[in-house]
Amino acid sequence: MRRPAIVGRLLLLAVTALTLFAMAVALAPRQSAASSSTDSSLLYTVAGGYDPLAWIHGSDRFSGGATVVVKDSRGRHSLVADFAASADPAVSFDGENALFAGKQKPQDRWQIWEISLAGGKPRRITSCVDDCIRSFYLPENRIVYAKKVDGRFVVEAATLVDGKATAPVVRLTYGPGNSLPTDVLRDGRILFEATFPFGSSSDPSATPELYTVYSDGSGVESYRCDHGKARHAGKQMSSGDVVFASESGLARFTSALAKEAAIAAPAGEYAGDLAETAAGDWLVSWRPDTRSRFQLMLWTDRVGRTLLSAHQGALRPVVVEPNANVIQPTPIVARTAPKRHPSALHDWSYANLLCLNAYTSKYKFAAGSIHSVRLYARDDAGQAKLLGTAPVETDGSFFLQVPADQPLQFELVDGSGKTLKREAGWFWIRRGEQRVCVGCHAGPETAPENAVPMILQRSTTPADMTGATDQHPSGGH
Amino acid sequence: MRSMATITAKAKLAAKIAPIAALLLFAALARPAANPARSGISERYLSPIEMVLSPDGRQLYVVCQGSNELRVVDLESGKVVSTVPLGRAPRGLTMSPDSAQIYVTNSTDDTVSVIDAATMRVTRTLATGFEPAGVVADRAGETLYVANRLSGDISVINVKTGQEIKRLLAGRGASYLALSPDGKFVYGTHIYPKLGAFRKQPNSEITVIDTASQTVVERKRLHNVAGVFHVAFSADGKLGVTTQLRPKNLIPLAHVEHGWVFGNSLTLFGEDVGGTVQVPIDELDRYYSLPWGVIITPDKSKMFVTTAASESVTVIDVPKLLNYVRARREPFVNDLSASANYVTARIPVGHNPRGVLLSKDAKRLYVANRLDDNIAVIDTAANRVVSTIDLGGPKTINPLRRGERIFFTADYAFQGHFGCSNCHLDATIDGLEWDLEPDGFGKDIVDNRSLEALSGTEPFKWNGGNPDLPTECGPRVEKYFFRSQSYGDHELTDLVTFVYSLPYRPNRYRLPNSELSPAQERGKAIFERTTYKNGKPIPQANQCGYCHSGPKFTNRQQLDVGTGKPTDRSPLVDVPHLPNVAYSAPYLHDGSAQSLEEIWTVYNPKDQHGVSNDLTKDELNDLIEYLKTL
Repeated sequence: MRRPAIVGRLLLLAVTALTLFAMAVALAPRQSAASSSTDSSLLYTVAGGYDPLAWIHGSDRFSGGATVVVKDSRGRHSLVADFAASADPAVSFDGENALFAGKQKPQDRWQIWEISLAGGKPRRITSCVDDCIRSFYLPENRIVYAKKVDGRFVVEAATLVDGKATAPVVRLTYGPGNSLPTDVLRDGRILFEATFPFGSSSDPSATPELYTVYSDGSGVESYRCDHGKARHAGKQMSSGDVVFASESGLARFTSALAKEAAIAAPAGEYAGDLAETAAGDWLVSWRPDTRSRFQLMLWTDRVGRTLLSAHQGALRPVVVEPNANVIQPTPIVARTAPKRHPSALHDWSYANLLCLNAYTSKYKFAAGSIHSVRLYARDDAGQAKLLGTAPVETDGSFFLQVPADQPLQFELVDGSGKTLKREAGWFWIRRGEQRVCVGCHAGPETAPENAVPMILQRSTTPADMTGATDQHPSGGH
Repeated sequence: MRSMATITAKAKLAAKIAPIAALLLFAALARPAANPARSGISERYLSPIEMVLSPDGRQLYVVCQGSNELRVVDLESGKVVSTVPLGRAPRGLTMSPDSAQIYVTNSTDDTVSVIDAATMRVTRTLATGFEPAGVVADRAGETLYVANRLSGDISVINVKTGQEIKRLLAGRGASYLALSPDGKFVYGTHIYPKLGAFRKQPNSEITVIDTASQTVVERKRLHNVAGVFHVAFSADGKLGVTTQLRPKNLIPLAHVEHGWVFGNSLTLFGEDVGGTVQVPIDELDRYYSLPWGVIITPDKSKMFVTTAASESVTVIDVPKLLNYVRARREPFVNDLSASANYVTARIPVGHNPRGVLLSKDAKRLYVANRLDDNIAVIDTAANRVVSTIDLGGPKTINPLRRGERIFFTADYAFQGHFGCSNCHLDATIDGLEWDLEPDGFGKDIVDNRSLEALSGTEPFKWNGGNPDLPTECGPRVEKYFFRSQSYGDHELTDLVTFVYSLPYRPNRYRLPNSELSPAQERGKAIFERTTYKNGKPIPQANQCGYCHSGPKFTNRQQLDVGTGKPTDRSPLVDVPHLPNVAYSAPYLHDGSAQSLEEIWTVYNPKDQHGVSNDLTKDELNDLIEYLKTL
């Protein structure tokens, strides 16, 4: 008779043990996520003073100095202890090397350096006359970085040969303002920040915006066209979303949406440059208010499938420096290299631009109102200089040959020569690029309609707007 | 140095491919009608493509295109329980209303196999038009409708007698059919656009057949659509849907982003929407390429779409979709942000997902992963794959299969926009002419050429600019088509191996005894003639057989035959091979001739492209009848 009772107790014990085990398993993911995030090796920058938007005016973001710190199983230590300053860490795709911007002596200019994360001496990659900062690895042994030229930052790409940035060095940005790379997207494009309207650094109303360009400098465009929220320091996450700091905190661009999507993050200010842990949690540089310093926090925004509220408690400190900012978290992990962009630039000194339909636009143009298009460049004083005027067909198409590698600006005019719309900012087209546009400020969500543009039915030779010959809007409607 | 390196790399690649190509060529010569992939290499892949469910919902009948079989899967055990041999390259299937028969089309044999569902044996074989694909039975089970891809029509077959009663004109490349839930209409789609004016927007149709009168009662126009695949209905019959491509072949292909090359989309029709409404499924930075299979849940809450080149299933919330369609008054098929309003999930599945089917309770979705030889089972509530049914294909993946996977995926293009199979539908053509960027905008318009039996037809490209397939498919495709890092050397070798393996489809214009009809004989004499009708000799270079010579009717040279256009950079065109020329309209290097007749009646005013202006209309017809037999 005792046998069933023992069996019952054993069963009860087994059920209890199983229940406890199940609870432990259920709780384990969150615990391991947090621990794996804090235990994994990491680079970050510690900076006394940090102005993330100083680049807009060509200034130094680290006026109070900066140090790249390694956090690994051995604890925390400087990546390059004998350097006067270091910042902008970036880890190679195999997880074995790191790029950083560094100054050996306080009076030096920033240069790009590379170091093996297994140890050893850093190798100087660039020899820039002025500052070179914010470098990232590109596929096939190339790197991209910002180089200060004539007081403003332009983005360049170079090939690494024997630890040096060598030819072909390709300048990627040709706008009149400052540009700074912030990430390399998985599709191979370079994400960079500049002002909006593009190239308007001297305009006090200019705000930072995110743009993309291919690694040969072609195809420049803003990531989305819903401008106006001071976006900067964007990073692409494993989901493919680009997460960035904005006026209102954190926001994201997601593939399905034409406008930024708000992120319900805990209140405070974010420095951008987020990183993602292996568990999918986010490392964020956050501060409660502008008087405080940025600290490195782990934002575990999920328990299972349940989203936590944007409660302050969702952020847990990872690295706190009472008197300094902790920014630019960069996990030391191997990852898949982005796709290489096969440059299709032609061997020309000029570029071509085809607009399919200028009426396809976020602006409303009355049918038949657009008569011609004017193209402007900038003179030596930075003033707009008219290059020429070309006809716009009744279907809104026009086809231009334009000067390459310099700031350009469009203006649409009616039959009386009155301005219908002029671009607020500037753009460029690379040498040998054949650029095509759906319309004039159509937005990246607008795919082209399938129709032969009337301008190509008239002629496959573009109107010459390179300044070589006078152009007249004859032949328009 | 760089060019030398490139040449060396190409030479190495050619050296790698040569033995395989030689093997395939040998196999092709030994058995001209067989697929060298199957005769030269041992693995025989199943390639499941379409499915139906048994009446009790316990068994899945799977058409295996590669192994010429119907495989029967017990869904409880997940095992293949029987196999039925079929004709060559089976493509579509349906079940009779009383569930007693299963009908399977054999696309290479031009037949339908009738299978007794009780014994699982083929009891009859019915004749159809050229290359049958989709098949449906009417509500009474008395009539079969079969879409014939190559003849572009729909066979109406009396089930009892097995005789074809009539053939209805359908769209070019007629392929997929569905019976309306009330049984009153059959809806048909077609994969190639209708032939139309040169450089004008392509159009397709949904062919609507009244099952009572067995006549076409409506052709729903699908504007700017080329490539329409499956068609399906909601259970209440108020919502119809087709999957489709919207090619951007008329604008210069200068980049890929912003939906520049294809619009992956659906057309909705029926009482729920009124008229036809085209609906995009892409996003701004990601594409869901080659939408193919589609099904709507019985409660009309969800729609599932297989995207064959993106290896995924798109899940659409039907009420949200209908609300959105009703709210948007203007067409929105070019709005890449629209899908956010109705697409609720993207479910990764296997390689080249095609047919899609719901379980009787709609809790499971079955997806035929054609190039994995298995069926993905999806939990329709959780929107995730919960298991995979192995159909028992080979466990090793050979170079041909690897190459086939590369051919059919969109992975290599920028943002996964498109793959080889978007333009070469089912490894054939798309019936379109394209404006490629490197030649200049609006210049050098090119027709999409057939890929059948390419070995021995080198060089490639309309002007013969590419000496071999590695050049044609390699860096050129990466730079000017995909605009993104694509194949490595090994992948390119596999891809080229697959493309070279594509055989000729059987020529339906040849008589069974290999003799020629009187008209074809007369046409042959015209093709081979050396004198004008007045007896004067035709200069050798102007005789048909001079340029169109050799086993594939091409001397592989580049010549000016007066067909160049002012927008072409050079009048020299590569002499095309002619076998199966009947299947590949439009014609000429730029696709400007909509028919074989137009090559001579419109584009040969000075007799530069052979002597044709002394021919009567009947004689030209004879010539064309002969050309169709090549």
